[in-house]
Amino acid sequence: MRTVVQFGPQHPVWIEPIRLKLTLDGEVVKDAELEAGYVHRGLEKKFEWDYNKAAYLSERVCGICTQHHSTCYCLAVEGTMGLELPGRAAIIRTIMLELERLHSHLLAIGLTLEAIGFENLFMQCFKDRELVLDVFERTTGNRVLHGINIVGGVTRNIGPEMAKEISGFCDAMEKRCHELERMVANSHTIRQRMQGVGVMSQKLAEDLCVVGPVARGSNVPYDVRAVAPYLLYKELKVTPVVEKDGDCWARTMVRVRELFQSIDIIRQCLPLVDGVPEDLFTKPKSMPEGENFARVEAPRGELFYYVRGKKSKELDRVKIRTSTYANGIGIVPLIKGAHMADVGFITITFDPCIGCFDR
Amino acid sequence: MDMLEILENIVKNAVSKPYTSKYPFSPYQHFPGTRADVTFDGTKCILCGLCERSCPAECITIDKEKTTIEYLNTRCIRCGYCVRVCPTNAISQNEVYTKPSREKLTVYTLVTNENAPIIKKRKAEAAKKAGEAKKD
Amino acid sequence: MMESRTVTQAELQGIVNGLKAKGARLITIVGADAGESIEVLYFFNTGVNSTEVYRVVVPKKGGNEEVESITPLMPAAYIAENELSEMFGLKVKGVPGRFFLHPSLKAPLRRS
Repeated sequence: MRTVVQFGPQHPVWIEPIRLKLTLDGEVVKDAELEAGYVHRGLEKKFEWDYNKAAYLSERVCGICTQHHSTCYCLAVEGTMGLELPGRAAIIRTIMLELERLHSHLLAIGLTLEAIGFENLFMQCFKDRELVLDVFERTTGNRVLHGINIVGGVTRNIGPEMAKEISGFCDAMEKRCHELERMVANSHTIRQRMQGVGVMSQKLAEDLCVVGPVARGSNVPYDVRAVAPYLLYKELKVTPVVEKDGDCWARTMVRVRELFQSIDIIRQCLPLVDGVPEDLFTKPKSMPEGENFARVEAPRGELFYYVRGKKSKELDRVKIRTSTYANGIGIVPLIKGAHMADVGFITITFDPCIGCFDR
Repeated sequence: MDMLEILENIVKNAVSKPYTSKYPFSPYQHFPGTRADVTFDGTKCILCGLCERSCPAECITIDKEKTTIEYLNTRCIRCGYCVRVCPTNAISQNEVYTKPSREKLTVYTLVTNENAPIIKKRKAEAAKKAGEAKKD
Repeated sequence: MMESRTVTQAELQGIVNGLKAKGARLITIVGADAGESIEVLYFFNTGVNSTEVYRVVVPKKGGNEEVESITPLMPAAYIAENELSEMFGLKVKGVPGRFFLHPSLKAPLRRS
């Protein structure tokens, strides 16, 4: 006998509204249907605006990956105008991008642990995240929605004292991340709960073209920092962190290991701040014309912006394709055949950001 | 094994003081450079209108007849674009956040700068008219 | 700046078959209103530092133009084609037209 259950727009396990209509047979899910659009704000229509003001709009698409959205938009518009970034701006942008990845992965790991019931470690993750948000407030002025990226460069500087403070922060953060990794990787109960649940095979991951830790947890080594490098990643080589199994445990371990990779990249970038000339941005000399696209590796996957200008201050068309937009198609094949108790948990290990999905 | 570490963590949390602070009663320790709302200086503004054209939230209105600046504080997004764009550095950004309130906070600033082009022109016309009236 | 190749709809199916055999992956599908026609751009990632862009021009006929779908070949295109069809009013064969918007809204990104 089949019952239809609404995993409705409001549910305590995820933060944003999305609707799944499940058809159950006992405890096992037979069929599912995804419906989205609860947070749709029509941003692509509003982007046909003054291109300077649109930089502040692009930050507000998502709250957790704001720095990546504004960097990707600025890279795409600078390509249509032919602007050259000064060296110092590239270094500051790279440091901010890696800090953003740190705090987003800590939040994702904390939410996964809360979904299985381990609330103490979830609170510990958020306590460690406060260190990163303090660094953001000292350098940019805000904890989220930083607003330092403009078309042409950045507006705030990282001087030598700030660099020394960030280097002290890196040491403290690495000690805390080692503790977190020890608690998660050596634990018997967490492993038993997560292994073998929600398996995505390598062939399915390649067919559906998923991105981010979801793909890297299924043995597909796709990382935009290695495939199409931008900013400082042309000099610092990044190897993708890959796990073979494809279940929830593999995706969480990918995120835990990427924490250490980010701290390592910040440590490599900090000494480069010394020798570079002091200018932070270049003034644009022409209007955006023609079309261009840019790609950036956000914490959840690959982020893509397409910009077309019409030789005036207003832009003609802007298209945003976020990482949850590419991964959203992978939720339904994984849920079919799983237990009802695992549905919310599998969705959380995908790390969905519905603000990015709906725009 | 990890049960013992979690137990130690729980006991340490139970006997130490809380990690959070009681916000409205103890003030917020902000860092230098935090971005809060914006103040206008009436003695430096020249009424050019650049800040009005560049605000993403459209919260500044310049009235050239009455020489006032109207600033809708509740609509401002604290981005700092007007601070960068002003040619005479008449706008400065505070560091302490505004307290929550139930009414809309709107600030009117009167511009008294003698060098502003509009004020200069009006003073020159008024002086010329006074001179002509005296001649007759 | 980016380079792109303009192809017809029939040629596109052959090209997508060839790319799929080589192991390329689809990035996304973008629609843009260009006055007299609607342009549909297909972005593919074919290797390290190489991407290919294909452009299909659909002349405007006052509503209900038709575009062939590539979802049977590449299942990753499902959400992108749904969004293309509901934002611009094109009909993409084989795909239900709605994903994000309420049924009372019609083609918000189309200008005429």
